[in-house]
Amino acid sequence: MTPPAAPASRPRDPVTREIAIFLSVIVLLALGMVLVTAFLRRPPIHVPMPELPSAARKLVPFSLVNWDGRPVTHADLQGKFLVVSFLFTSCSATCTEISRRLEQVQTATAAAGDVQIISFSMDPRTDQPPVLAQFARRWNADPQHWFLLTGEKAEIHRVIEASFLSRDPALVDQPSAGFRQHYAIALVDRSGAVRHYFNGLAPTVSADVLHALHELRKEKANL
Amino acid sequence: MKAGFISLLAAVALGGCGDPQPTSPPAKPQVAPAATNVPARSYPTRGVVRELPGGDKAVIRHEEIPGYMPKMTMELTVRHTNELAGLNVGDEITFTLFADADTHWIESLRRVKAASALVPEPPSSHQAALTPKLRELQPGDLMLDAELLTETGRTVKFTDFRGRALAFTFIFTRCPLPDFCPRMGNRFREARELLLNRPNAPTNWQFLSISFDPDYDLPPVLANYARNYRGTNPDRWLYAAASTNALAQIASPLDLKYAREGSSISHNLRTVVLDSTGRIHRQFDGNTWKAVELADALAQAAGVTMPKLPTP
Repeated sequence: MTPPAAPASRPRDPVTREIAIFLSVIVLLALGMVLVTAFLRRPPIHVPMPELPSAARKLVPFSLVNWDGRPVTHADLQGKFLVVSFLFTSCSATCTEISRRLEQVQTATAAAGDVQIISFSMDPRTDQPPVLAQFARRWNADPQHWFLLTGEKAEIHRVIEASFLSRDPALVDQPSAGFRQHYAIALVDRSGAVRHYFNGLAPTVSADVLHALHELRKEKANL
Repeated sequence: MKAGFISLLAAVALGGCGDPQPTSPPAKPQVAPAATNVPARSYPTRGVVRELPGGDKAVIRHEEIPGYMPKMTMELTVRHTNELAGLNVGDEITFTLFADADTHWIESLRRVKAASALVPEPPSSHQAALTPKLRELQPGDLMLDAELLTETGRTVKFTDFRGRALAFTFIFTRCPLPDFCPRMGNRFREARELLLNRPNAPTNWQFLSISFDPDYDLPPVLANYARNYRGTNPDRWLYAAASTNALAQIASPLDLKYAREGSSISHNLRTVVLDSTGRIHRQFDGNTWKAVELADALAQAAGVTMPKLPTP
């Protein structure tokens, strides 16, 4: 009959609640899994570098000198991925840290042959080729694989500024010549486009660079 | 990864529920120092925010703080980080600087003028903004003049050395790296030795070691430090300190670079020889030059090693 309908629906209540609770637990778990997966699959850590240029940047043509005294131009880099850093050899800590990590990148990319490591000097009058050579040897730099570049101050500063870093005119008398985020490591693809900036002082940076290189190699344009 | 995720959650949880009060070392007084027994001194001052690197730091170009610090740009520790909220680079602010024997902090930050109205920040990455006010000096150029405070507390200018060849370099006494400032001291010692012992060498030459650290390298500190290199013979070798303003004038023309990093200074090495008329004779960059090269340049700049004209 109809009257028992109410009591009959009563026992269904806890069941509905159980199902509801069960379902919400499932939904929450699924959501959690999605979040964890998203977190685990996140791209390599990009430490915020707020003042880096927002517009797409490309390596500009240049003519500089390597630490072994040989001239190097942009033409020598064609078809390679570039791992780029900025240094002054009078530096006490940051350049040492970054160079140690680039040495790891050099070791890890030696066999592939498609990666060129480049360190631009921000203090080129001090960092003449023999000075850079001494620095390069500390990090077992291979003169073919890892260029440490110097040259005319105006030219090398132009290349850094036009291709990679912005500059604070109030700080040009600093050893970094006013370049912001000069502790960055930049990654350039085979077409010469700057694709990533990493915090060169982050402990995981060599792994992050290698991971990003691996991703870039998968792109059609870079095959 | 998982540990990272957990600590991220923990950080979020702490950030969400934690006490909003800024953390500060417990040893420091929490209230105005006047009310405590810590003898910190307070200096009301004014400045422009240059950089907000995050955390409890603010880089501020402040005005002269009479009796404490000349006008300069410094990274300062902000006691109550909530006072940084809403501040932008370029804002003109007033604040109070507190300093005791071993630390400093600032409080009571107030914006008095917003960024855009005050600082015409030149657009970054434009060549025009970067054209140095003063061009780099080349051999043959006249050295710019600047005042220095010597180890005996006198004021001396570059032009005071006219008539003598002058070799000068830049150091600071707390410089820890043997191949930087100490190497400059050792090369000067060797070069002076060479000139003193060279037969028929000119005598109108002078060495000058200039500190970048005028607040710490006060005259007695310099005089003490000088003995490490000069021994007991101060003959024709002077130590002096350049004020922040003096450095700002001469750094660009000499391609001298320096930046304060706490109590240390990150810098490059520039050693310059002026001839007896005050013109750049030669510049030695870095630390790979030899004492004999400096002694030769100085002797030449003094004008005596020039071949003598045959007597009629």
